[in-house]
Amino acid sequence: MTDQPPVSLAFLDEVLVGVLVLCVVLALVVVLSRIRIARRRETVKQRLAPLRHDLLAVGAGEDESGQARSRLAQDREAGTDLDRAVVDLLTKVRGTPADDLVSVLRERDAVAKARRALGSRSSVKRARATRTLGLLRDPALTLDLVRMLDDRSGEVRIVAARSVGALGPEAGPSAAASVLRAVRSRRSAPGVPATVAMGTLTQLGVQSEPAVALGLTDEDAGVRNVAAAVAGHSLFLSCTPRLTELAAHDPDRMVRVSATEALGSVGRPADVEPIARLLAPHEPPAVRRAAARALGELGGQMAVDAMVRVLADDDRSLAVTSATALSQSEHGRSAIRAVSLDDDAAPTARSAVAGVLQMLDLRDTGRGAR
Amino acid sequence: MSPDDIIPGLREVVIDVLAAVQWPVLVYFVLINTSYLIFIGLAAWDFVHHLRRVEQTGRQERVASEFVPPVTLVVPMYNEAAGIVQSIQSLLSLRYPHHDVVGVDDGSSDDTFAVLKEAFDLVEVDREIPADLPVKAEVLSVHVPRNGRTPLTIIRKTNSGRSDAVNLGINAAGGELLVFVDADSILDPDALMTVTVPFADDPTRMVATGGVIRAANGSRVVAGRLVEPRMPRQLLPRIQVVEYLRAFLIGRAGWSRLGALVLISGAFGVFRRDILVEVGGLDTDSIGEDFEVLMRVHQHLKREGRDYRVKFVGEPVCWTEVPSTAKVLQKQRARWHRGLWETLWKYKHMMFNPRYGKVGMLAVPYYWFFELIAPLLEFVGLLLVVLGLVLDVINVPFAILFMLVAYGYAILVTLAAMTLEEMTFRKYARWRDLGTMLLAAIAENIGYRQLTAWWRLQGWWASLRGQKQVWGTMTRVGLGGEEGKT
Amino acid sequence: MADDDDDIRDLVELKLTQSGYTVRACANGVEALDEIRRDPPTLAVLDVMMPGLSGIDVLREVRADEALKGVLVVLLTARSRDTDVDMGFSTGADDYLIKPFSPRELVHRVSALVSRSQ
Repeated sequence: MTDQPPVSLAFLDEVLVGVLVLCVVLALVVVLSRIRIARRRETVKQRLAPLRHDLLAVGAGEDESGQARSRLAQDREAGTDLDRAVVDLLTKVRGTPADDLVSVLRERDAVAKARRALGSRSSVKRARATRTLGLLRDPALTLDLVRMLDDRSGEVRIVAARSVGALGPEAGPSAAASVLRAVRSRRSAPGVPATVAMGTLTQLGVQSEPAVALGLTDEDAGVRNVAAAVAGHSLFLSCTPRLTELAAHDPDRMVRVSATEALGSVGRPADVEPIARLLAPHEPPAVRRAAARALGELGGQMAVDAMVRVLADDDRSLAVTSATALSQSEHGRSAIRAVSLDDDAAPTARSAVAGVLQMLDLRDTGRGAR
Repeated sequence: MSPDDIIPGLREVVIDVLAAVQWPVLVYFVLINTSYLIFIGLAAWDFVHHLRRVEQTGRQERVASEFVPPVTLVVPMYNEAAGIVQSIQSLLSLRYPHHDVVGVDDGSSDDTFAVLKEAFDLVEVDREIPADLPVKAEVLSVHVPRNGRTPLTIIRKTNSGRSDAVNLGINAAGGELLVFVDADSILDPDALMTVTVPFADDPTRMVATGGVIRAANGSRVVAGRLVEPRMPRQLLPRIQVVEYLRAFLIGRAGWSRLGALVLISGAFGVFRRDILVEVGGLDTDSIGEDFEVLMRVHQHLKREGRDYRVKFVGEPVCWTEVPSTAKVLQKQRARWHRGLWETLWKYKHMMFNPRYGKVGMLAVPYYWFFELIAPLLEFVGLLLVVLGLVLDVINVPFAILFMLVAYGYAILVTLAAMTLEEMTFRKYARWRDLGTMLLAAIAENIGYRQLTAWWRLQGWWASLRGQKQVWGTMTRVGLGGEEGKT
Repeated sequence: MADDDDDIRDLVELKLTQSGYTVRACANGVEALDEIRRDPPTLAVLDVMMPGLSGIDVLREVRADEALKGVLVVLLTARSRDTDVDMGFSTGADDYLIKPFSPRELVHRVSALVSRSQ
């Protein structure tokens, strides 16, 4: 045993060779990919160089004669590279130049090409095609875009949702319903991101009101949350009863917060009372704070009274939030001034308003602090 | 036993040990490195989707939404007079719809506060700071800019350490989301938009996100922004650039993909404020407080049976100066490993506990077996090889071969990480930097790796002996996913 | 004029040059800041969204510099209603334009600003 080294692993040679080969391969990949990307960019640039001037002329709105437009429309050599360059430029300008670029795309048959690409196997191609169609802002394409909201790739769904939003109210109420449905998470994959859906639904304006009202009762908390935020932002009055209910009873805390905040925007004087009830000590801190903020938005005597009451609350975060919310309205400002001057007021309440009042004074005069 | 007997006796022992451990060591070695490659693969998948989304939806649009939650940046400061004004200014001018900055001066002994007062025309106010989290220190004063509009609050307090300062900042923060940033970190203008995207996308479930941290040494910095990443000139920082690159891919992106991310950097992390308050904020007694707090968040939310997400954002938007001297680096690594050990020990009940889902079944065991023990095994392995050589138990060509394979595999992992960087974010534009990086990937294995393993063991050992932690001033990056090998 | 996007940079350059202005185009914030410092222009058009130094950063530096007091700044901002706009004005921008933008509008705003300041 002592002559023969006791520890030996015969296959180590092969492993070493394998590892070294892989190392070299990876190093080469790094270098080559860098060269390839630079070269690819260069080729596209060269191919588009002769058309660059026309492209910019159209983009700058300097093509009164329409010659540049027709040259771009008729060019066949630059192919999809030109299509893509036009689409890129289209995202950057608006007004007449944008309309001109759209007409170039149409004449280049980009619509048909993009519609065909919607069925492509590559998700990148589908996303690109969806984006192109969306940029045309053509309500006739609504159905195509809505269908892409169900795409199996998350990126495509995002592009589709944003494209539907770009169509504006003309996309119609059923598109809004589809967007909201796309927010639902599907098995493990997340749905369309909340902010994207919120943006789209807001752009659709009143057309999304029925869908949003329905979304407030969806079984998916993410959908309810989006619907609540949009209802508040877009001032969908028909949603307030349901928002009140969500604010008080939804099993998801974030939904309660969103619904409460939404009520701050769409609420009417009648909603002050149920929101004020959310200030009760047994409610979660986040909901109580949201209620204070919402009351600050709504204003009015009842709201101010409810906010003043929590200035001495044990939850100091709530007290400070409430003081800040009070400072939003003239009515509230006089209420906190009264608290600060009232020697009988609870010291905690006076402490909560002191800093807020100083901030107000600083803002007004640039003075007021020690 | 005479001295003559000791050598053959020792030789027998070494042979037995080697014979006994060679297979386990090999299996361990294959497992750990393969896990790294898998993580890099997962990271690649994640980044490709991320970049496609950015490409298709446009960066412009991210800042455009009014539906993003308000954010408060919490900046603990201790003797930062030199760069603090620039740093606060660059935080205030980050692109975001509504964010404010709360700076907590942790009893600095230099004129940190004086320079801030001068630069921002601060005045003292009687603002009440809620005590949502218990804070040890005494608040001395609260200051805001005189115009009453610049969204900045500076709090002065008695010195009580970084974690306590952060907790006070949490109390004072008005935002729903909190971003913790070290005063010496350099953020890209879009950093805030980037790291908060997951919260905007999935507001009902996201509770925390962590960003990538890269080494800033040697890069070009103008007006408080890092405008051109470059490789540093010194060797130690150079190696760390490569190390950070790899460690964040291995330690974060993959775990995030798997839904079991347990570590986000204290130097650049985002949390939902209400969740932090629920779990009690940072543990001021913990040495690895960033790791500890996230474990506590996991434990709390799993126990409550809530559906939640913790996500890693792979786009590099935060840069920090890494130690350029061995001494500081040694302290840093010892600290990190100590923090790792103490936190893992504290949460040992989560190990293989199905109640904690993937965190308990996958992440925690992984950190035990592959993060905590790695430097120990690496060290023992090296020791055995050296002993084996000295005692002529293994022959020289074999030893060299073994080392080559071991380090070759490690270099392979690093190269895979570099390839991913090159395919995705491509931050280092100069060819010269690429070359330097390739060299650093190799140089790392000669000396640096062994030294850091040793330092990490020192940290672990210090904890086991119950030495008191010393509060250092090094940056709190917490690589965590940094690996050792056998 | 500074924008990291080739299209926008070329568009603005083309449009402003045709309107009789001398335009110096920069591809990023650092270049722009260097150029403004080297030879202060009458007016700078800055894209807010640039890697490295953002338009806001450049603006902040320009406003902090006494020697550059008279430089007019127009920001090119993202679609958002408040974000960049609020921040731009509080940092001292003279005007802003929301992207996607109309090249004609840009020229109008630039000439209005320039003539007002003269």
